[in-house]
Amino acid sequence: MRGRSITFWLMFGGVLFAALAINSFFGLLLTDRDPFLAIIIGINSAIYFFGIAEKKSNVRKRYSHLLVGSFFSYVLSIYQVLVVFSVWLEGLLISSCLLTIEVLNLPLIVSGFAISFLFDFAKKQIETNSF
Amino acid sequence: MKNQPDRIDSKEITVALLGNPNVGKTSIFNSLTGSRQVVANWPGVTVEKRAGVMRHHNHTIDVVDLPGTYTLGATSLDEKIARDFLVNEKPGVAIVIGDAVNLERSLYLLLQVLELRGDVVLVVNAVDEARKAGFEIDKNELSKQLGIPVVVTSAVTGEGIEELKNTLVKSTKSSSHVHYLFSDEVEAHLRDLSERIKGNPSLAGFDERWLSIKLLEKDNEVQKITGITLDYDFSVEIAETRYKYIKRILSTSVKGKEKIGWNFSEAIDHVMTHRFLGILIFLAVMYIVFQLTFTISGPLSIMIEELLGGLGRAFGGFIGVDWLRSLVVEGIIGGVGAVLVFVPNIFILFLALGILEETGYLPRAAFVIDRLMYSMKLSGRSFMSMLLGFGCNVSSIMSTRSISEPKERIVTILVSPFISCSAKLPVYVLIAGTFFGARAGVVIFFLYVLSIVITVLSALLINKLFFKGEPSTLIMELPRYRKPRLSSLILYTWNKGRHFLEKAGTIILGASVVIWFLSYFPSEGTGSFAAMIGKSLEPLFIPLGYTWEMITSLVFGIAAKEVIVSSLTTFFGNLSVSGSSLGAIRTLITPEMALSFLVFVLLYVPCMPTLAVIKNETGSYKYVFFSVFYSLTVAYTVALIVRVVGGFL
Repeated sequence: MRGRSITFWLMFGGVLFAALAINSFFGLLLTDRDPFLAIIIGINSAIYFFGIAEKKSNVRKRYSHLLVGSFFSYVLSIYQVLVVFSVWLEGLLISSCLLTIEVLNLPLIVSGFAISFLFDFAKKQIETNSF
Repeated sequence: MKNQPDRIDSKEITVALLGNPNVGKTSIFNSLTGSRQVVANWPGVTVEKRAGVMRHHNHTIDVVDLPGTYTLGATSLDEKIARDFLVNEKPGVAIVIGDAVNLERSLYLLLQVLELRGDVVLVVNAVDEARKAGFEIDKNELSKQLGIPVVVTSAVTGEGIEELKNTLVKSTKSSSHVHYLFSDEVEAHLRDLSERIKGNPSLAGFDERWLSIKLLEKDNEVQKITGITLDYDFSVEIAETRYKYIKRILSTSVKGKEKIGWNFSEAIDHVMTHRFLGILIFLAVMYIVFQLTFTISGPLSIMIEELLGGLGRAFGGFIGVDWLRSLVVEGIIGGVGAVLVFVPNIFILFLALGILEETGYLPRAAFVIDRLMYSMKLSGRSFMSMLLGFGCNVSSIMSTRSISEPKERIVTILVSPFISCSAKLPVYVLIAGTFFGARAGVVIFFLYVLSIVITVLSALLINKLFFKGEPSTLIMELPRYRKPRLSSLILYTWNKGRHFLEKAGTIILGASVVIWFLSYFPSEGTGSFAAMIGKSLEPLFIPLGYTWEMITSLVFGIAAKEVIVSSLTTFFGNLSVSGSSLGAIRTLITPEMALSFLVFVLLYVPCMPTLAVIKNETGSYKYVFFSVFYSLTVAYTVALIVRVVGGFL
């Protein structure tokens, strides 16, 4: 991946997760209002943006931001799945469905899993030193 | 050169395991002895020697796992434990475990051991990771160069473990000193000093060349033993000679190392140890851990609660005597059950912390916090000890043995109890669940952050007021990132979590019976002994607004923090993690009082076992008294601030 592409993906990840953070902060689209989760998603967004701030010539450092940022996004989606699972299980135990479309926070789950492909790519590039 | 028998007399031999921190000593120890000691991917897991027995082909060998050390310099307590064992106990064989990916530093320790004694075996561990990184260890060449047996192993895959066992039960003959010489000047000094030491009959049991080298390195302890203090210091020159010798050995015995470029761990560390992002990521990780601890365990706690409720009803149904039914149902099942309900929280917390340890993230957290800690006159090593306190303050205090600066160690011991241990978690979940509902996870996260803030500020204050020492610089090798192994995680979680279950069956059971007795006699409710205790202290807590039940539970909580939950349940009726019960408390106090109570629980007097270990580690009751009074003062002050500020919000 060339320097310009990596900048694109860092920008993409940063903007996407900044949007998800705003979405969670205000509870706008398919999500409950959760300011604390929004802050955590915002930190994920910062990891990508700090990558753009690295010197263009230092592709390795930019890759490391993409690697950690995409992994963090993946972890956040797994976290959300676990939360959804425990809410479902709790509902099952009290014979009541506690799940709503907002509890699912689908934008976060889908984005996190989608961006995990970037993690695999960045990992491979680093392990093979293909910069 | 000593004469050795062809085969080791198995019943008389002791084998010592040495190595740099985090090279896999404990894993090798477990593989040899079949033990299940906790293994973690960070330095300082072993702070005292552990013994086990290895049986192999009719041989029985005692294996001792020594704390990790970079040198035999004895500058910290764990280094001293390792060196004293080698010098005084004189084990039959010393196994030096090296890291295949970072053999240079491991060989530095090996050379020091070889300067002290013969009968040494070198184990090059993590050879699978070395191969993955693109280089090969030529063990035959290494063995030829060093003149000792060399075994390559992987504690993860089990490679080489059988060969190591076979090597141990065979002859391990090796020379007492390695085949390298220092400069002429150093050698001349060594000869002179050796002569002086030979003339001293009280030093007959020691190797005079080793003592001489240590004297030239200005080793304080050896200076005391020998009574010789030199004006000159050759420690730099001696270290350079050792490293030159190591480079020569590695040039012929390690192949392909030059292939490695920027590796995976370095790439991750660029972000994880970033000046700003590092701290933000640390906070985010802790938030996720505590949020999951609260969320995932919810349904599991409900299941246990249902089970215990059924048990209580079953016993209540066939016990006719009122007081006995009350004892069994409310005292024992209610008291112990109140704590058992939180077993899922505890196990999930330890599982999450286990993942952080196993992956190698925790030392990074210490590295990131080190910058902040240094300004507080503490090092990141103190923070690593404190992180252990999330599990138990006792192990946190024990781990301060790896801190070489005595003043820094005392400060770390004194502030470690402020770190929120797992025993306090049930109290948080119970009260936060009752008063804050869906925001309980955030409240718990706030308490954990507060515990770190108070710990750091206390360290600063104690340093300013009582100690003027400089912090030791954090020199720590960051371990490689590793995928957590399920077996290790299960072992880690079980080893840590089972103490909670053991406590439930011992201290908490006993305390529950005592609490029931005190709350039932001479008459239930406000006429009970428990009420008398609480009411006698009530005036002190008027500014905080706590009821006598809460005060009494705080008193009982000094035995073990979980007892606070048993007490509250006994006083306020059966609990419900979903917050539907303990309803009585909701009519008595406001949410800000509840938060203030949680803060008080977080910060007030350490539990009895922690106080005992403070006495043991500091050797003085004055630090125990200091810890009690200081923590009470801090708890009262911060809890009052929370109550007052909360009242305005």
